[in-house]
Amino acid sequence: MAISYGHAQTNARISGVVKDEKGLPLPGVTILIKNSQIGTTSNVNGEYSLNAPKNSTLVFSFLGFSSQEINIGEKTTLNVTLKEDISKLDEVVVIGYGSVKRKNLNYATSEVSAKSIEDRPITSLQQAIQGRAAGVTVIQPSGKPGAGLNLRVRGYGSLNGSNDPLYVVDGVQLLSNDGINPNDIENITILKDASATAIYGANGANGVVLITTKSGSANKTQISVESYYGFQNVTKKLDVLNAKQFATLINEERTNVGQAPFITDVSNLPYNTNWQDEIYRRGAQQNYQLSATGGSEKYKYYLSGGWNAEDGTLAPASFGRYSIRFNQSANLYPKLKVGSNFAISRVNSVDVADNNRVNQAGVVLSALSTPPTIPVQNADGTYPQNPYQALENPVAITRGADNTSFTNKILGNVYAEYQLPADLKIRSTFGVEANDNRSDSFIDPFTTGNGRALKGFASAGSNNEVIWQNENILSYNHTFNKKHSLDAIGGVTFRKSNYTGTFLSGKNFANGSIKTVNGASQKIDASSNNSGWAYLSYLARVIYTYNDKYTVTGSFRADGSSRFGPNQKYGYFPAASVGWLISEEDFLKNVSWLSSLKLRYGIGSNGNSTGIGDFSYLARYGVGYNYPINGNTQPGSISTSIANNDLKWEVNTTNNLGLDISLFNNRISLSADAYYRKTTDALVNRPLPSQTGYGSITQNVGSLENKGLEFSLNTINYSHKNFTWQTDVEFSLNRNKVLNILGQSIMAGGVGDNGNSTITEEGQPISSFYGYISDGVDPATGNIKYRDLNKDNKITDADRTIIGNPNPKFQGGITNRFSAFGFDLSFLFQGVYGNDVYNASRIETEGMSGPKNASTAVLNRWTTPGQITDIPRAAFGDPNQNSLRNSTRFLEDGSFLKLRDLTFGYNLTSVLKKQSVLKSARIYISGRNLLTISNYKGYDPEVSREGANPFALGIDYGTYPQVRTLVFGLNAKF
Amino acid sequence: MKKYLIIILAAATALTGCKKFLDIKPESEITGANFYQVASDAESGLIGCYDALQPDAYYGFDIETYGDVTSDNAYAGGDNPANIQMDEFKTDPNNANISRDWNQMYQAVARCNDVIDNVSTMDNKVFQGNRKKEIIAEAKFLRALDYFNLVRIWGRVPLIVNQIKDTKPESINKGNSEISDIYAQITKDLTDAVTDLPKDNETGRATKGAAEGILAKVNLTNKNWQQAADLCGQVMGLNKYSLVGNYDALWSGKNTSESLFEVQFTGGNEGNVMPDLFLPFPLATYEFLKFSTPTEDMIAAYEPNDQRKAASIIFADQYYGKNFPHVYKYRNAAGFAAPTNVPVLRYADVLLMRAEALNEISYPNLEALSILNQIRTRAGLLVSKTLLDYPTQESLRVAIAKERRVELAFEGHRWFDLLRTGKAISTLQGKYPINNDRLLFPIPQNQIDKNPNLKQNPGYN
Repeated sequence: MAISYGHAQTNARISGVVKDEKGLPLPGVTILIKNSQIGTTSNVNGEYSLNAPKNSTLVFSFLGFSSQEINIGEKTTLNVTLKEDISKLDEVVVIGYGSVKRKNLNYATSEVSAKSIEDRPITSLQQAIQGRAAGVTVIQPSGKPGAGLNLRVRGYGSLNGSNDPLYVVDGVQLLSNDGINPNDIENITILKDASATAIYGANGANGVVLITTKSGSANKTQISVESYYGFQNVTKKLDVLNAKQFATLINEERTNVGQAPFITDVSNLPYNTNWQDEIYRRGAQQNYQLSATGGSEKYKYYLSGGWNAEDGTLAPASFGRYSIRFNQSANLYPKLKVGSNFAISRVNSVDVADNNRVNQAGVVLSALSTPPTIPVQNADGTYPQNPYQALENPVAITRGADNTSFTNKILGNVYAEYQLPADLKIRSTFGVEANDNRSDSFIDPFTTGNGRALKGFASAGSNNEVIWQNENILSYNHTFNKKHSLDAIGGVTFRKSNYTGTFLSGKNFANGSIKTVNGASQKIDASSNNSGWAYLSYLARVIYTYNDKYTVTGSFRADGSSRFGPNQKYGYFPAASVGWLISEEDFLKNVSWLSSLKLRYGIGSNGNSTGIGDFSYLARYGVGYNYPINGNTQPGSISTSIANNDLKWEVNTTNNLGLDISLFNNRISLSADAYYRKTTDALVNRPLPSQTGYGSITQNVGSLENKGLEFSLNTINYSHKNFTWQTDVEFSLNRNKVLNILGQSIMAGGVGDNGNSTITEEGQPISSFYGYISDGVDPATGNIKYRDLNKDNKITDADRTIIGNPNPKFQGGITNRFSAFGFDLSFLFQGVYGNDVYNASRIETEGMSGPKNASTAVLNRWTTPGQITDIPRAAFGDPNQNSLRNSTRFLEDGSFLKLRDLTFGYNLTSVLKKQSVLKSARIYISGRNLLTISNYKGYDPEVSREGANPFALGIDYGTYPQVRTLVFGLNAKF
Repeated sequence: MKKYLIIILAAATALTGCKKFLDIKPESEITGANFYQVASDAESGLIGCYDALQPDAYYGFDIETYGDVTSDNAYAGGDNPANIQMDEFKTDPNNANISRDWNQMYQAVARCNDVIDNVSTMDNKVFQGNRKKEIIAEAKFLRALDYFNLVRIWGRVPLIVNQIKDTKPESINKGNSEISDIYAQITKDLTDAVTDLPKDNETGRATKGAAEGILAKVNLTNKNWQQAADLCGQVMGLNKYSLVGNYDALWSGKNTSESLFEVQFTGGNEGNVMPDLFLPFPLATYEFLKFSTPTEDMIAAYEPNDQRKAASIIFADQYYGKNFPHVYKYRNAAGFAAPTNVPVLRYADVLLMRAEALNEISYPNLEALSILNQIRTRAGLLVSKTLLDYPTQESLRVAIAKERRVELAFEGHRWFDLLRTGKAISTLQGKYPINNDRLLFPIPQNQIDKNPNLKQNPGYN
């Protein structure tokens, strides 16, 4: 029954003080008369007073504390003690093979909850982590729908293995994290230091991302609908020359080298095509999720179905994911619990060819460099090429090729947990990940020159990998004498993969109507291969806590793998940590402003075994070394590698020192970690003298290091009944250095005719940019002055040096969350600082060496002696190598600050009629990449042409531009 | 509780007891463990040894550069600084050609070592007839050919006759071997090959005659005149080989009656790049500066009416200018994938070797003269020479050498002939900065960098 404010005669003044469990006053507590909007807030001394009807109920609520409802009866004074919600220290944090209370946690972890995932136009779980976990770098290499994100925990620790973390979904170790629906995720915990990850042994070196999917809760049936629909656009278009400017430029290129101009009449040009307008469109993004949860004390379930679709800004690029999930658990008997978590998903994607220049049919650079002087399509339906160089126009590239793929994925597990006597518990799980992938491509025989030359080309590749996993864990959890708490596990696990792959391709198609290999009159490839691997592991861990103050942990894992050489069949991975909850000591217990203070240290060793192939340790023979005998080709096989019986995992050892401090009733919480991560036994290709018959052998001989600092700060800035403001800050820095690669200089990052642009060598960060130093344009000649480093009066290869570093000096993210009167606003600013990007796209757009269109920057090109400018002269063929050399001319500051996420929503619950079946509803708008602050001249400084290749980071070469997304959402719960 | 623990431990042990869990065998890869089991494994390993001859870093191009561009037969042509260095005796230890050639020739040796080592341990029963012996003999023939090229180009190269199976320093870092040891190994391999190879074999494979012919050349190189003459005689005694009637037919055809051993190309994946590198456009698929262009001196060496000139050199208006000479022995260009074979040893070469050896043993030797006339007559030089034309041993020696030059031009022999006859410096000095140290090529610097025991040839440090 609602009490109207007007009935003053039934009201009485009630007042009191609100305190916490320590007896400290709590300011800012919201006190409301139940079922009304009438209320007040406690003052700095925790005092409150308001008029309330007798026998009414007051609701005391405060962020981080459990609400209390108290009937005031006839009282006029009511003092209340609020209990912390679940006290932050008693929160349970998921760690590998178990969980631990935060106060007993000695590990370096970051957590991302469902709250950071909901109501945002994100399609992958990495996007949910971006900017929200200190020490975790997430780079989206391009704006292409479904583009795989690079997630790095504490830098690059491997040269020839993967640097991706291990993803574990509900205990199942993943091979591929594609197809995971972020909306099904309840919580993500990232284990960062080796004392935590060593329990994952030979696969834990790059950090472990533990994903817990949603589950049902007892007696709370709920049906939810979540949906959003919106648009995406490229964040930026680049200014290129119009038809007349283009014609003038390419004529100048020719006359500057004494050749006849390309175009005789620059004033009479029939077309002025804007190619970027032709290929970029407004994309769309939509997501629909229907879920049901509920259950009883004995049976709980979570059911969901989701559809996510993205139509890219550059047709026909698109991404679609369908997924269903069914999680359930049942207490069959008092001591026996069983359950399962299963998801089936399908991902469809359509690719476009980017990351190349137009010569290799890269569509983005084609859009920037195709002459504006030709039409999109001729009257006869054909697509004109660059008239001077037989290169495709970008529309022809996108229409002339189909690149589609799909992946069907089954991921899940079933488990049984049996409570044994004496606080012992055994849990057996059987998990599976099955990925069925298929990629088709077709180049039609008409649209492109390449297609016409091949008379059409089609390929079909499929691979299927099934990984099953069985884990048997015995756990023991007991507290002795109320002071000694022991949490121990031990177990044995099995993991095995079966892989099959097939690939077919063919050319010479009669027409474009059949797009699959069966239409090819000439088959090129028909191959298949099978492979597999297995792990057998033993693991154990003990967490001992004395009096909730001192926690020590020790863990050990032994991993045996089919991939390891016979002399190294098992790897052993120990770890230990100590933690001291100083705030529980008597001398700090009564410090009122200090909620908690903890110091922790961990050391551990784990491994990375991704760099070795299934049978790399064996002496292998290669096929295809054929020779004609009697005029007929006979199959030849040759020895291609030496057996390496010592081949093994890369070893990663991390020391981590951490400090957690919470102040003022946990309104300010700070975690700081310092780490030193060293990789030894890194896989390095060791060159061999050719007289051996082998070029190189991969051996565990290298080393590299990462060291850094991480800070994570969470504050409750303001908490009032109608207005709250919270801020989360993460800040981190990492320094990477290659220590030993046998003195080699590993060059990579080749761009067009310019060759390699990166170098990896000892004493330097991985993937440093390498090239000449440009001292600008010589006013006398219009040519770039390259610095003669060795002073031999010649510019040669020897004048190249390290010119930049793609690794940021530091990175961070700030999330602010506001809520007021049913409205909520949250936004994340995320940025990196101090990294370089090699903008190799400008080699094409500012090269002025051939009949290609250029950016408007070249309007400032050198034309007359004495002219001061930073753009050299136009010269066909670039005889002075003004752009044909990789140099500081194309190196740019890659620092950026992005408004990564912004969500503004309104909770309709308070305006809904109470009797409605609708329990709650929410509308919102949400944007991604709405604002980018950067000095970068290209599309976007967040770019990586070669994706995750650790030898070639931060290169922009016609990469699909990043996109800005804005969606409108509606959620409802029934 | 004890009961449960026992059950758990028992289960764990049962599961882990099977060591087989980690024992996964490759299905789609050949490994040392599952190869060399059946005869077809051995055959495919042997095919790999032949395959090593094809690349442009070996008989597919570069042997011609050593034989003809380095000598007085041809200029480097083209636009490749590595070839120009080799032409002008300015070869740098970082020269790209010598680097790739060293790699390729040792790759060829390693494949032979692999076959010889592994087939030797195979059960004779898996082979038909003498095939096991023959396979080993074919591999030995090829290994000898590889080392014969290595030792003539670089001199004291490391002699490795077994497959490398580990990366211990003593296994991978063998230093320079003595030239005499290398020749002893070549002779041993070829002697075995002569014994075990059949007279007739499938087209493309090594034969007894090929082994005898190469062994003759090895002996000629080491001035073992009698052995050389005898081995050539043995080849003649096989009654298998004969000169083709028309010299031009050697280049329009392949695997003729005159062929003892030639590197096989059938086009496509088994194609030869040389025709496109040498032939003028439009005989070649592409138009660019062509390689190995004949010298004025070479052109002048042909006597009037010598049919070999038109068969060996074609004049065309090209980049270099009007009526410019191009090598014409490698024909049928097909976009760098020609079905054109490369001769390694021809019967004409064997005959001329016998003539040379006989003349060295004693003068006058009528058979030597007769061979010379036989070669000249086939080339359209119908007037027979008599002893009056060659009144001294030296004059006949010069005549035979000159005949070798025009007969075998652009087949990769001239430089090695000049070397073994001690005429390299006298022939080329004045034109090029040649000296004793330049008779060997520098060992590639990248190999010296990788192998501390490998020492550079004199004059290149």
